[in-house]
Amino acid sequence: MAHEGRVLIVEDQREWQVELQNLLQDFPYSIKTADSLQKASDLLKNHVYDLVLLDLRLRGWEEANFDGWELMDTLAVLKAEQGTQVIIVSAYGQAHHVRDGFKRYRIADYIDKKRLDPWGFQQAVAGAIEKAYELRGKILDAK
Amino acid sequence: MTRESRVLLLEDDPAWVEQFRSMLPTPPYAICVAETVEDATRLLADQSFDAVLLDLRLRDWEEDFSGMSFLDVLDRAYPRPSVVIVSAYGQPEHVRVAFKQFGVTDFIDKRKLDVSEFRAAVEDAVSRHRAQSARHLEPDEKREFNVLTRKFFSGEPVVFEVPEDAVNPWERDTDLTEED
Repeated sequence: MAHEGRVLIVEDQREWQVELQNLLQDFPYSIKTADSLQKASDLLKNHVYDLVLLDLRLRGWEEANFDGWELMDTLAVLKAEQGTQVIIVSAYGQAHHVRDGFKRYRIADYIDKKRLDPWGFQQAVAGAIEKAYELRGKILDAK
Repeated sequence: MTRESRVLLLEDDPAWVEQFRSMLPTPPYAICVAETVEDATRLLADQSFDAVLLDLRLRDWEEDFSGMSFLDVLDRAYPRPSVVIVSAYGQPEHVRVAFKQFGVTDFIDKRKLDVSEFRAAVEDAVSRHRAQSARHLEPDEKREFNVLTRKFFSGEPVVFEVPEDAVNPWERDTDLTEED
């Protein structure tokens, strides 16, 4: 059975916010959304999340805009302190984002919006939340 | 004395082979080159390597990513060398599969290759492999395993000798169940 989980969807497009929420509606997750970098930063400052689903292009009308990536350093700190996991969900990520995501930031997964498979997405989310629980347990034990 | 670092390089472009050789001097690196997945598979069955440097496009076709198929072969190798992919054409999905499914230690873009970062990536791959294999088989077991792997890849029958007094684990499990 899936863990209860607190999920933050960082996504500027309303239709994608709805799509991702719909895919997770049958699971015991509480879901918040942020449609900008600023809103995401504010929420992350004041709340603990098990998982952040991060879009990279948060101003969809601007090509070559990857402002979602600017959250990665903050998210790395939250991972170390609270176990928060990250799945990048993007249609425009480039190979170097995926490489740095896995190698530098140890993201839980990278999902290409253009090939989103509902079952695979749900599995990735459940796995990441489980990982967040495990990691938080280790962080608490170490304290 | 530092042990040599055995590297299998799967790369079809001679200019890049030279480039890699110049970045990884002998000693401590001993580089074995394969131009095709088939050659690399044979070398892998014959010898053990600390790291594999893997190009993805091994034929001059736009949609060729045959190097990815070697990841499947490597996944069955034991002990499994660390893998660094070095490619100019990797797509986000290749990078994802390489890290997530096959646990590569790095994915380097040939177009932005930085010599010191590259060397650091190879050193890291080699040391990870050594740390991992040190926890696994003893040298004699490794040798026996390599002989069996070589036979398997060459199509020779592989025969496991079972001592006469060996207990069949399936029968043992049945006995335990009956006792319960």
